[in-house]
Amino acid sequence: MIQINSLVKEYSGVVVLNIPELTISQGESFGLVGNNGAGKTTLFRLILDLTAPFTGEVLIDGITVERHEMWKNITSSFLDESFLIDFYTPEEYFYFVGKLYDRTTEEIDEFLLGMEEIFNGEIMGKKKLIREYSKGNQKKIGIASALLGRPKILILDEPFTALDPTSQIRLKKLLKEYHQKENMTMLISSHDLNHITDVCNRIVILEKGSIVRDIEAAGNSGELLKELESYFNV
Amino acid sequence: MITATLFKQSFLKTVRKQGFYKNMWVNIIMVLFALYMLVSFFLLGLTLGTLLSEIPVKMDPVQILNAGLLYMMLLGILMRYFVQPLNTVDLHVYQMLPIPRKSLVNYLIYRPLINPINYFWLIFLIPFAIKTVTPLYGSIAAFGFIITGLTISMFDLQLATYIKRLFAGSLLKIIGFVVFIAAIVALEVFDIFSIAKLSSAYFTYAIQHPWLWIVQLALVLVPIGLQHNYFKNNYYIDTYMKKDVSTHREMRLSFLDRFGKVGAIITLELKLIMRHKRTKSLIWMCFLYVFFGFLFFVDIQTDMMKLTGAILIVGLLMLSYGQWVFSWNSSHFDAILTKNTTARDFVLANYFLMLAFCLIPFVLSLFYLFIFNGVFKYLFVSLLYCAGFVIPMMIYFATFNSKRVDLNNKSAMNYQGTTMKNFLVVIPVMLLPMVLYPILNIFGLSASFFNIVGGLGIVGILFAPLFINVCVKQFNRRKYKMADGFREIE
Repeated sequence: MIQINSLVKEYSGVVVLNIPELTISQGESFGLVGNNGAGKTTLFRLILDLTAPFTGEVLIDGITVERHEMWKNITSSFLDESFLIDFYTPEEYFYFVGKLYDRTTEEIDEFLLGMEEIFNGEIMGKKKLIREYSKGNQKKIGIASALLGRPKILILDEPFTALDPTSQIRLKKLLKEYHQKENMTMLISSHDLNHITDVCNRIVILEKGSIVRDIEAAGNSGELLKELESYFNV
Repeated sequence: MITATLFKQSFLKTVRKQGFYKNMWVNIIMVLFALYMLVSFFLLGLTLGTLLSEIPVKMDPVQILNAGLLYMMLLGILMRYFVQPLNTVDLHVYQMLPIPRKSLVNYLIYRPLINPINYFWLIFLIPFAIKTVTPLYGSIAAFGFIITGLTISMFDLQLATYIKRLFAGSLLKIIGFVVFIAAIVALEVFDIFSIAKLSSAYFTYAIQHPWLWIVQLALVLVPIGLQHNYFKNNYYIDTYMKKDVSTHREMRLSFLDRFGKVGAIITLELKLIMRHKRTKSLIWMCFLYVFFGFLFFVDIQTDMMKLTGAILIVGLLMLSYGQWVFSWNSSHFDAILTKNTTARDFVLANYFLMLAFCLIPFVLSLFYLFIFNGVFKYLFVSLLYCAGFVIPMMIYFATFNSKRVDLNNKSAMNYQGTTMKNFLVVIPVMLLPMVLYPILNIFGLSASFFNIVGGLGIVGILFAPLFINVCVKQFNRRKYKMADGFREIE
């Protein structure tokens, strides 16, 4: 599904990301962990064609993403606030995004009903612009809008930060549900080792732009967590 | 003197603002432009007397100019109302300090009075007073003329700020206000009541009678008093600023739904324009540009000047939006790039929007057909030129603007994102006809001037799909640079 070949990203002569080879297959739940500056967001930006690689390429369904647009059909993402339209109300934003993914008004309304558990009554019908919402609620709006696209590939950068504990747990449940139901490929980065091992079956550790571990443990999140903790415990 | 400290701090705020030095080139060009304006206004003041004496009416130049003074006053109020930001203080910074409220209020009211920009037109009035008023009415009247000019500026300024505070951005009141002014103009146009005659008679009398100078100056106290009263009744000075947080919600633009993704993006851009001060003032300015016609379409202007004027009228709105056509989307550029829409949709949406931004002023200025003969030719050629030639140029070159524009920055004189490149693009585009004309003249082809400028536009319209493809390619080439640049918060 996603194929990365000899991907290198440099910023003014400094290599910030160097991935010789990485394959993420359909339906995989892929977790990305690493300390600050390890290159997690850069990797996501490269996959989403938001920045040009120095060398190498990212292929989605066999087609390079660079300067192509076919991948947008099947990919949804939320990295930060620049993925939101801050002068829209959440409703306007959801209908806007829904329209871009060819979803009908009824489908959007139905989807939003399903999101009520996550929204917790704090998002819809408030007549506020997105920029007037708290960081946590903005994150909920962003994640929901990503799911609204009915993606085959979902990319989320640190979805759990800024959320309250209840929302974190609900979000985990929601992501697992979507993953199973739609056989969605998920790419999630997080600093929270508990959550990421809970949601993902495969964890990749990035350090200074390189992959240092690639651990797969289907269904055994306890084992995964132990291994991660031992790695970061220095 | 706490008020004095406030003055000093507002000065430091300007000078120490981030980007004040970064945009050196912009500042230099602005200064040059201001100097140019100063010199041309000064020269106009010197020569206007002679120009006016050639107008075949039974009035002398001073009476003619005085006839316009009341109108200048109205125009001044309107301009100040729409263009000039209200003088505000960062209240929360000062509120907790032991500063008497009175000092803050005084600062708010009197600060604009010392801003030299508010007396800009004296540059033009003083040479006129010396060169024209003195020989006709004597030096005392000339002095009175200058004093009157000064008084009008002060009165305008205070009244405009008072109205602005009072209306607090309420659209209905603003419309009422504009209608009121339009009604006054209508009285003149339909010969019901001539403000011009009144103005001429009054001011010609007033400049010769010093006691009236004092009365006029005293009148300035009226809006000042009203403002003091306003602040007495509205204890929290920043209610004005807070109000615009929760206005204009649900805006339905359902007719655009039919146009699919492109329509959705056009809706996005329209809401963007209507929900931010900086972009909204672009639209308001457009209505003022339309009045350029009274300057450019009068009979004494040459063909070339008339066309340049028409291009400014038709094109300025589109240009002022189009220069930053992608930068406006800085804060959500990643959304545009990653959501399921193509670069082509995005470029197309902006192309149609800019097309509308040419058509609107074109239609608005059609009323000139009833005033000046043969204006249609200029307006239509301008429309062709702007729509066909300028729009693709603007879109293409807008991809080079990779500086973030933060629309949530409230100030009206927000030049964020302005770089040298803006001037490099706009000046040649607007002045091309002015350059072309003399060149054609050399070859004796000035008769085909219109055909050439209009032809350029027609070619542009016919080959629009081709140009759009070029723009899309260019956008894809530059999008990484733009995305990186737009992410950089100053």
